[in-house]
Amino acid sequence: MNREVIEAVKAEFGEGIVHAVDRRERRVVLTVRKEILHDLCLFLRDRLGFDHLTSITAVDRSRRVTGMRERQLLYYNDFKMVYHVWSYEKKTLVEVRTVLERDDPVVATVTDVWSSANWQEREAYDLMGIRFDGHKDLRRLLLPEWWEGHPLRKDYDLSPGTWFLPEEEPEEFPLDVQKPVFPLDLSLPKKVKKKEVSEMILRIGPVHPGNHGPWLINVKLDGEIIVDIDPQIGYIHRGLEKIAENRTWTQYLPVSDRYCWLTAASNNLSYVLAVEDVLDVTPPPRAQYLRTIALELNRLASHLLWLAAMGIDLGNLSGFFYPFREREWMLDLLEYMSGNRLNYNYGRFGGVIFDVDDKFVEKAKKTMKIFRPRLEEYRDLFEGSRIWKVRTQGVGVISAKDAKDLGVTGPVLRSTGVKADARKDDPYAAYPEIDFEIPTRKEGDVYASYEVRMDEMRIASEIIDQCLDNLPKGPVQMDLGRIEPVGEGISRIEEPRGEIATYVIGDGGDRPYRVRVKCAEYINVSALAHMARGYKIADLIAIIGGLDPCLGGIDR
Amino acid sequence: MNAVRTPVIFARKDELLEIAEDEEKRKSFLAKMRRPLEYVVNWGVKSSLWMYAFGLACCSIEMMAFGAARWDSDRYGIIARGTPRQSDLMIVGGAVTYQMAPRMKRLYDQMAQPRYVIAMGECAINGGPFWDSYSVVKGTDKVIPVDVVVPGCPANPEALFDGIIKLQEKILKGELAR
Amino acid sequence: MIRRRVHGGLYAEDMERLYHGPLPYLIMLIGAGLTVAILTGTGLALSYVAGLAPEGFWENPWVRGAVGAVLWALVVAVGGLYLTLVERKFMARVQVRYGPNRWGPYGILQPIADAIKLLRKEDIIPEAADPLVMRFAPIIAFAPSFVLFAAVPWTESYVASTMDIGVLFIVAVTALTPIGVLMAGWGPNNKYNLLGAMRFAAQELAYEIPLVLAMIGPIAAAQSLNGVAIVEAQRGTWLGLIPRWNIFPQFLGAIIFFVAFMAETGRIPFDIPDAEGEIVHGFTAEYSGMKFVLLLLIEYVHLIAGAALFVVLFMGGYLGPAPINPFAWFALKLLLVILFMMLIRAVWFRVRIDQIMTLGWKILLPAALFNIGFIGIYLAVTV
Repeated sequence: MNREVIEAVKAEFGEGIVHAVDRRERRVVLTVRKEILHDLCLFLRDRLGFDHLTSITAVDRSRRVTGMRERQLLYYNDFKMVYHVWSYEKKTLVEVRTVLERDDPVVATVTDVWSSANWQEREAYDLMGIRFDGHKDLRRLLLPEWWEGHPLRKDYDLSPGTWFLPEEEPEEFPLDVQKPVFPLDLSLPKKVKKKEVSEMILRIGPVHPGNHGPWLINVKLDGEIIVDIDPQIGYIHRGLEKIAENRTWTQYLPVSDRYCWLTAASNNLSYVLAVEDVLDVTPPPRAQYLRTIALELNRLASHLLWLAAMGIDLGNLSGFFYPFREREWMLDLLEYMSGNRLNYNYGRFGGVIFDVDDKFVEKAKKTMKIFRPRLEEYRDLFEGSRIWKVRTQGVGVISAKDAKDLGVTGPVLRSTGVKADARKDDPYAAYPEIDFEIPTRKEGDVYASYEVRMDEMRIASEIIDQCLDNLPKGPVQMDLGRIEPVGEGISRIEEPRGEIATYVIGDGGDRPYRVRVKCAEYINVSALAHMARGYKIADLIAIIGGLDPCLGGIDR
Repeated sequence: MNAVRTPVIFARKDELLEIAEDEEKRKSFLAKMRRPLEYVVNWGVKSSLWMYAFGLACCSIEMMAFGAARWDSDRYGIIARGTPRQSDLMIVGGAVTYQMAPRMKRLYDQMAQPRYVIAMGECAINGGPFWDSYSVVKGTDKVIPVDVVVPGCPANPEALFDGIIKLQEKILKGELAR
Repeated sequence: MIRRRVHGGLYAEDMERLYHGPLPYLIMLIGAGLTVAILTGTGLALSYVAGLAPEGFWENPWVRGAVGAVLWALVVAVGGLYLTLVERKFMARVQVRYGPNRWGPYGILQPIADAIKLLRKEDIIPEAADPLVMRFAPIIAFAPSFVLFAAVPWTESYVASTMDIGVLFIVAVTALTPIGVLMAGWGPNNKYNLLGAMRFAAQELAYEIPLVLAMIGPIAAAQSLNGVAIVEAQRGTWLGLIPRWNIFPQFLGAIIFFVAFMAETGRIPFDIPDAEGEIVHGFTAEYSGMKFVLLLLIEYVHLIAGAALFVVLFMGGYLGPAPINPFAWFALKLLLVILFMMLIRAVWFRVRIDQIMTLGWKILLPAALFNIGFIGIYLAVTV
């Protein structure tokens, strides 16, 4: 498959392709000239069927300011753009690299190829100062308007003077909220189109009980009906990608847990797998199985919290408490495995940190046995109520084509009928050896994504049972010595909300040169405007709940 | 490249003065006569701390667990209100960024007195694992006055209960004159 | 040092034992028995005290009014206060947790602590608010919901005002509440307050009509608007077994009335004026301290009033067999209806506003009209 892609691209563009590498199974790397980038992307999408843009990364390829051991990698005084593109049919990840000048970093936008590029390009503009030719709405995304400079550049001043607050109180706080821009200028669907449209802008957030975290949703309303949405994020942007450059490879492990607190095991493993990709090591089988157990327990905990939040958002108080009861069991098991309830810090390069004993296996089996009938209880509580169906069926409908274009992944994508799951398509950990199915639905509404998640919970508990039955003996960690990788690595795994991709670059020093993370909810939430358009304002709560945003993963 | 000019947000100085004045008053004779009544009022305040869950990050999930079935904050009369006007206790859980800090300050100002603040988790105490981030405020107490800090990353619900009990002890003793 | 105080360290199988033992049911049975005993005792004590007065003393309407007002004020204030505790404990039991249990045995001091705290709370009037409207709104909203108790009969003789248009009076007075609530929406100059108040008014208006139409059934059966007369018309049994309560022949009417008064109370599934996830507590969003308490009590007073009315109209009011006295019968039925509403609140979802309006205008209103026709035929056949 890899050869086919390379040959097709070379035949079409010839000189434009500087370098094409068949890196390993399901991974192709293309280095191209800046001029052909846009055409290449169109070619990849239309001819070769690469319909999902995984991530866009901007890399500053200059020497670091802070001194540390650097060797082996050559430094250029320029920027590099890296596009990762996945094909749902071919099940191949293509990495497209191109180089921009230092003084005038401009590149053609790919928002017209994949709509999901919108926020990622805005982020690259915000944090790295790269301009995208043809982007309709190039604003800052994660940092406020009044911010100076682009923090991810290597020459950005992080000296202690700016970390601590000056002593005098300024006269005024910069509380002014960004003026909402609705650049896509979405028109109303036909069924709600009227001659006179009186529009009102409502700001929901940044602190609001139905928001699932601090973010501001600017909603343009026509009466009760949503016309357009401009979400404003970045309220808990902690600059994790910059922090990575100031920690050693191992020190960054606990920070990687904290992208999104609900899926700490997935985040952590995503980073670990990316580094293992650079180091080219495979952990021992017992570690693979333990990773799988941790991931699936984490998936259960995350989905149960989603169910609880959905219950409280739509007014069912017991819907909050029942899933939380079982969630605590999952957290107990994870605490037993890793020592922490939320941020497990469980994965290590070449294995996991702790082994489990027989007592754990016994307890986990018992818990799973009790848990599965509990799923029926939730079904009674949720589906048994007609109001739940009325509130969610036919709400937030998204078609499979739109979902792919907008880059939506995870249960929301599967609820539209696309059978895409990185656990099957791009296997990692112990998933190749486990027998499981991928639930899908056709409708694409909130109710369908609820059903997908309910099925996933059952399947996750079955996966855990299989892992416990087949748990191999042996060590759980490899001795890799000093971790100083050189080169690039990418991992792509299925977190409870969809696809999380981590891209790391090592320059042979003891710290990462660049770490780029794209969480699933980040892209899912950028599709909110398309999903909520034409529905009532009260449906917005249900649609947000169905997307299951986690602001840590969105803002990072 | 220029460094960021970050905004500064402090606890109001007049608030600190008020606290000091109250301390003076408490020493007077009349104040001693008021003790029993004060005790009852303080008991009422401490027994019914309605919280404004200002959950920002990981700790907000533990705050949910704190209210959920296993820990059940309702046992102590602690229920979550969605509006700051009716809340007595603001639990700041998570990293406060420069973008969020002015809003937190505004929400704190909107709370009716008596009001208390718990900084939950390392991020809220001093920036925690993000101590070298360019966008995180290094401590909630640089923005609003904090009564009790609950360490942990994230702080467990047990730890939060511990913090709440500490706060209740402080209120009952009348140490917090707000 | 942090110790695990609760059931920390317990795993799934231990939790099973904890929640599914016989103990909770035993406690519930004992609680029910105690409730009956206390209510009967109170009723007997009240009749004893009332009997001490000279002949004709209770016939004086001024005396009845004054004593009734004081008694009902006590019931509403303490009842409303303690209803919050009952609700918290009851919902906690539904939701596999304990509810308040730290301040006093079984948390019985919790409402008192809440009251002290809310009294102590700063009373904020925002800069941009209309202070006069904001100050008076809670009073205007609360007063009518209290006055309506004048016409609700506890028993044959315990009724503050035996007016002949009792039921009509109740309906008329209830309709005043939205004015106060609208003021509470307007005064604080907050969008969420305004949205909540508008929703409340719209909902109140939509459900007032089916509510009144559903009342026509019992009124027609008793041929009177007087509460006592309506209850007396339900005396007796069918086949010596089934009580002649209106709920049996007029089941449809009872359902319509129940749904409509649930909507008027503004509780789940009809709690859109308060919807926390959408409009952050609606028209109470900007209120703090005692003003907030008054606005909060409206919900509970409406709950008591609606349940009382339901008991009078459809469940035979104070009627019941002997060992338990009429006073306790009324209170028990009241408690039962209220608990049923709490159960609904604990397990149902919130309806969207347009769905509420649809239900009110398109389903309940025609159903209520049909019900009147049905009752007419039924009465013509049986009476």
